[in-house]
Amino acid sequence: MNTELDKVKSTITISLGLKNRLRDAKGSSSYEEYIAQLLRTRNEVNKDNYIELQKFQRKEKVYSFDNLKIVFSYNKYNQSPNFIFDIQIGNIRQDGQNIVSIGFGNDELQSGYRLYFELLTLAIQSEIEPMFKHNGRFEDYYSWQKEFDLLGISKKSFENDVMEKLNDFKNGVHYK
Amino acid sequence: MIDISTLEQYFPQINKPLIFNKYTFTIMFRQEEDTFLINLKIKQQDNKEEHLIGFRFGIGKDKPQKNASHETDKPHFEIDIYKREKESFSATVYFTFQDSEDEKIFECAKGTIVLIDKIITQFIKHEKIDATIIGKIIYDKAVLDELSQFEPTLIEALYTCYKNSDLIVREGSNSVVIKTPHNFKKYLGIDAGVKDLDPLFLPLLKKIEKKE
Repeated sequence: MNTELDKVKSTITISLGLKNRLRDAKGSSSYEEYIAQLLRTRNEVNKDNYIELQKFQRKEKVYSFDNLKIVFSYNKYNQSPNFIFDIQIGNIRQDGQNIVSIGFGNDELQSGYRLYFELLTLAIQSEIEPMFKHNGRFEDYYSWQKEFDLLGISKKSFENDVMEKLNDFKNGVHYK
Repeated sequence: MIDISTLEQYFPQINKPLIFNKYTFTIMFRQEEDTFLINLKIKQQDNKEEHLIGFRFGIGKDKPQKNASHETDKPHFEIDIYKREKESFSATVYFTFQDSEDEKIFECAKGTIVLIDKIITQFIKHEKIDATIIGKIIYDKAVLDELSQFEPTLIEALYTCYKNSDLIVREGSNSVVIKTPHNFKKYLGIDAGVKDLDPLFLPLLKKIEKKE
């Protein structure tokens, strides 16, 4: 009998052991029903985690430039495929005094977006970079790629990172 | 584990020495996964004369260390004093917080910033340095407006350390647990001749003497 699982098998390698475990786990349900149930459960868990992240697990940082201090918060990184950084400005201090907050999307759109990306960069530096253990040597290509995979970061980002490192090597920059 | 990052907003710059006249002021901030530090360090340029002041104090948490006189991996308040007059005196004082709930420690960190502000202000007044430099080290008004309420929390937490024998002084290779007002004054108060830390020592001594 040609089941949905067999169709999946044509594109993804599934071991016989896994197929047997699936058969035992599905009980009297069909493969299709069981897989759909697993997908629903996964989506619900991710959705809940995502909401939790937005709501509770936030971190605060201060971004300083000139005589300004931008106090902002962002949601802590997690490996959910739905993850996006949510940046929110708490307050802005100029020479120690609180000033009116800058809104993203007003007349100062360009400077607002520029600031947004500066804050996003700081959040990424704080959350993502410490998770990479590679030391930048080209021989570490595969373990390095694995880290990107584990973090759910796109292959495109990985390729960009590799190209950047290769350019550095070409320009004589060596990593410890 | 607390995150002290937002407290950076009360200082124009951190981790960079600021030199005014013969004194160097440094606000130190360090945040790692399992350690943190907020310190003020004031050091007088050593001109080889008899009088020399240097002290550092603040709140922090380190990695575990063997053979330390205090529990380094617990949040603690630390004071390092060096004074050279007719006789030289140096000591390091540790208040170890046994109640290390994040919320409480964060409040103590805010109280520490109030003390940093008061001690800088007093020091600059005593040493007759131009008062306008206060604003180059700390945002005095913002600290007093927004954080003053946390100073009593810190003083209370430091008093609890004294009461529970979690106040240790290390002088050279000797460590002494401070349990009496007499010893407190000997190492931290008037008897030690350290006036620069009065905004910290006086309210604490008052509390100790009141409860004795």
